Amino acid sequence: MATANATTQDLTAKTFRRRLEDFWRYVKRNPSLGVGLGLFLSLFLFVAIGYATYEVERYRPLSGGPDLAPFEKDSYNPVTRANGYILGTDRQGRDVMAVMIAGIPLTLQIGLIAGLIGITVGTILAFMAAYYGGWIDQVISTIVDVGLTIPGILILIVIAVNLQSGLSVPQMGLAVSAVAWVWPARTIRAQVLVMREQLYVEIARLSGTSGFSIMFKEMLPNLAPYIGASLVGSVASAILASVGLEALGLGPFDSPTLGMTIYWNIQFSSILHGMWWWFGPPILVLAMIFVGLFLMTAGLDEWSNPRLRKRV
Amino acid sequence: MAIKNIISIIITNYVFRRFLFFLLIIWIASTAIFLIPRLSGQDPVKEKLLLEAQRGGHMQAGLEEMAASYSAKFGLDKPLIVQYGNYMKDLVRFDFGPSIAYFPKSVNSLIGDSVVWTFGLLSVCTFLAFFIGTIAGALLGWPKSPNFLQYVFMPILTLAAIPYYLLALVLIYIFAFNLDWFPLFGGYAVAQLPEWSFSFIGQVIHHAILPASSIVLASLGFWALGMRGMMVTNQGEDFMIAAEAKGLRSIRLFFNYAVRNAILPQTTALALSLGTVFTGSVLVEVIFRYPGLGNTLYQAIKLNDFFVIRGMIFIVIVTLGLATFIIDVTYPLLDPRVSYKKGG
Amino acid sequence: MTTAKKTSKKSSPSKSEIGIDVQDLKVHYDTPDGVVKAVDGVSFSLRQGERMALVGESGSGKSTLAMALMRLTRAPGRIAGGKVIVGGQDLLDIDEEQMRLQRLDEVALVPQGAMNSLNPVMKIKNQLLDGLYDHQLNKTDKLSKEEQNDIVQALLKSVDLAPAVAEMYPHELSGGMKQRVAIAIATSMQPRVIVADEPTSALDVVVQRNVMQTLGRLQEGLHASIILIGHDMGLVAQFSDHVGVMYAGRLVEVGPVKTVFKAPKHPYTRLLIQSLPTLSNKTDFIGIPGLPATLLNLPEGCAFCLRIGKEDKSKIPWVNVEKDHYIQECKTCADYGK
Repeated sequence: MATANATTQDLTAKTFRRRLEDFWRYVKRNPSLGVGLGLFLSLFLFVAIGYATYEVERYRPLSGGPDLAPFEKDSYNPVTRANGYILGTDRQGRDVMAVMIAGIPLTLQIGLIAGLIGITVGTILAFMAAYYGGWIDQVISTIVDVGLTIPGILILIVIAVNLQSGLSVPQMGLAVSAVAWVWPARTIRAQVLVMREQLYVEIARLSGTSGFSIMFKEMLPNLAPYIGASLVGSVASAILASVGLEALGLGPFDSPTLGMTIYWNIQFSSILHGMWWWFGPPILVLAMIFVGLFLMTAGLDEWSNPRLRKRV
Repeated sequence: MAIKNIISIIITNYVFRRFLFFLLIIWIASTAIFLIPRLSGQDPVKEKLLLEAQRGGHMQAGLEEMAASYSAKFGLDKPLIVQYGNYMKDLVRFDFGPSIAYFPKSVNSLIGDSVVWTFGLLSVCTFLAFFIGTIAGALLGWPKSPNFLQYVFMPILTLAAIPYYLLALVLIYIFAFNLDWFPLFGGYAVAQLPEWSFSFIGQVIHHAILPASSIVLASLGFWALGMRGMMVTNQGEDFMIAAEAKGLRSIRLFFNYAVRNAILPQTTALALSLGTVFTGSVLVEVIFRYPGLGNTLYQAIKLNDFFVIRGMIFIVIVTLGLATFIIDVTYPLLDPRVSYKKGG
Repeated sequence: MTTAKKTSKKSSPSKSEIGIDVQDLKVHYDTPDGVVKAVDGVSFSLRQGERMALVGESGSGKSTLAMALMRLTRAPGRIAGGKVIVGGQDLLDIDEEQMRLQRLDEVALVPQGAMNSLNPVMKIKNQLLDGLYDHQLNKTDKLSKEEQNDIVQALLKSVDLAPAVAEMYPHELSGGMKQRVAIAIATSMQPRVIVADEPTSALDVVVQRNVMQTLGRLQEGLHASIILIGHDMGLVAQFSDHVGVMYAGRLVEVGPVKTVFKAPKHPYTRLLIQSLPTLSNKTDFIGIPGLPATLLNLPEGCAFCLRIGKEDKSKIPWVNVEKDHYIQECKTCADYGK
């Protein structure tokens, strides 16, 4: 029909600028997504500018005198560091600002690795369970239920405690992914169950398309926004788990990740000594990360589930 | 009645299936705890025991004995099955052996001391957070609620995103360090011994307020959000519109129709969240040096006290499994669509 | 408003009274892209005891109209004008609490057959009673268990349901049974007007017949006016006295069912009737060309003309062509499909 052709041409002719405008308009209608993205953007900017302008190497211990308040004169380096450090130093002489700049990407990296692996494994399992049903579904569902009841962190603790050599950052990512697949598997399976009953899947099945191809070509694209939201949730819980592990003292000791910083804070009772410049920044950054991820999940949820959309 | 009939009735019984699930959880968890250390081929426990024994001191003889009996039961020279068998035998009797760090104090006595504190703290906190959060969420999700509520609860909902211990750090700094309203750490005053007196109980409460507040405030939002979501979904449900068409009063619509239905998935969420509440509280206890399971676990991790870690994790999983089981089993009382007879 | 005792009936309204009088009802939806006029100035009236059906394609505004009659329109929709006069009172002119009291008592809804209109966690007997409680009885007037039981059983009997249904939950009932419960609820306070929004959709044919018979019997007994919304023309023909045809949010034809079916005067009605398959007429299916009008920013003038590619922007008059038979008379498209 004439009208159909006209619309297809319209879509391809849409310029990048137009797409950007549409995106911006949607973000304005969906404040959660906007604010969440904004928080993350500012963190990225912070790290980028930091790496460009600051001596990030100073995240190592003994980079400066210990226990210095911001801008307090460093008696160990009186000439070069007469004006101290922007965020002071911690008990072991680390430059707190450098620790923040170096630590944020590390923590995010762990979250991303674990989140991606978790979502991939979770999605595959979810599809298999929901699509094939029967005993496959029973087995997978039971495993998922068990995985949800047993707190993942406890298993992670058992793993970490038994690793004599300690974990590097990528290894932490891998370890956390072992528990990050459970929740996505459950929620995506529920979604696929709903989709399986829908007409276009029936039609595909009747026309002889293989199960595999149905899953990939028909269902996956429709699930994309939902998977996106689950990915963000997965990353959030991965970061939560990894920071928790690190704060317990089971993380990569030499890395300035945010969790390890919290660990050192607890170890050296920074609060009791009133060293607000040391425990303040990681708390603030972690709060920004979690709130940002939370808002993004809420925003993506709204996008993928039109029924939740506030305005018509 | 034929045996087959009896068996099929039992198997399809809802309570029985949930109980099986409970056993399954315990079995999988304990097997994981058994297998994971052995995956690397070394046996850190034995090495740790030997290390402690070598340190000397008055415990040396006892520790050497321990190491010997440990080897007898779990030595790597034994086939895995035998080791596993010995392990399970001990586990079933809740025999976790002695603590390596506080030898010869047994793991059970260490756990026993801390369980009460954690149980008390967490049950109160979970109940409060669930109760307040659910009511808040119900009101937020009800279109006829006053508008100002939205503004009051928005920040609380955002608090739900951050882990409990971050909030704990902030609260300690403001209220304990700066304002000095609450003590900085402990379950009770320093140099005080636990006793049954009003002053002691007063201390306990005073010391518990900050840790409890961090947990409650940081988890409120989760409950509120969930309940609000369910209420909003329910608003669009057919039966709500039909109920409004009946000319029912707002209060009846709110309680008997909206809340009564929304509370069902909330309860399911409660069962699933117990694990999260516990793990979140571990660091809170550490930060406040609250004498509970979390703190004991933390110390055990620092000292590589494997027996305590294992025992504690097992106990925690059993407790969580039990709590989940209880909630699962009482769910059909709330939702008439799920029956005790069928598979559930 | 009745302040009658719990068990006595209301006085039956007389035959010549007007049951419901709808004047120029408008329901608009505000969207970021413009105003959607879901119901655009609909007027009709029914005498007490008469049955009228409202038919039209999906999107013609029928269900929106039904909701508006009960003043149940939800955001982002709003009632933008008109009157709905029942028992001498304009329902659109009273406050919330008064409207609440009118619902079930004067105007009752029988919800769609496909809907889950019963509360899944309440027993049937409680759902039959709670409407009554919130209307007639205040705290001092509590019914005894016996009286409650009597009322519940009487209601169940009136719709041919077994006494045991009282203790059941909705998921234990079949679709037909649930609809009967809905009918029992809707008639429990002897309303003046019943609005039945596709009460038998999603039910199979045999059950449909039973449910409609039950509904019809009760309606007659109450002498209530009934507005039946639907798109099953066969059902409409069997059940109603009058039929109104809606298109693009407007009524295009209203009249006695026999006349409208035999000799439709509006082109849209003509097409609608022609598209019905009959046992005798074994030709190809004829559809109605074009797509239903989009109600967004609908231009002035004849909506149907747009469908067949014509245009008439003048104000279309609502013309009385015969006794009780009205149409939107648009000269431009009047002869289409003859």
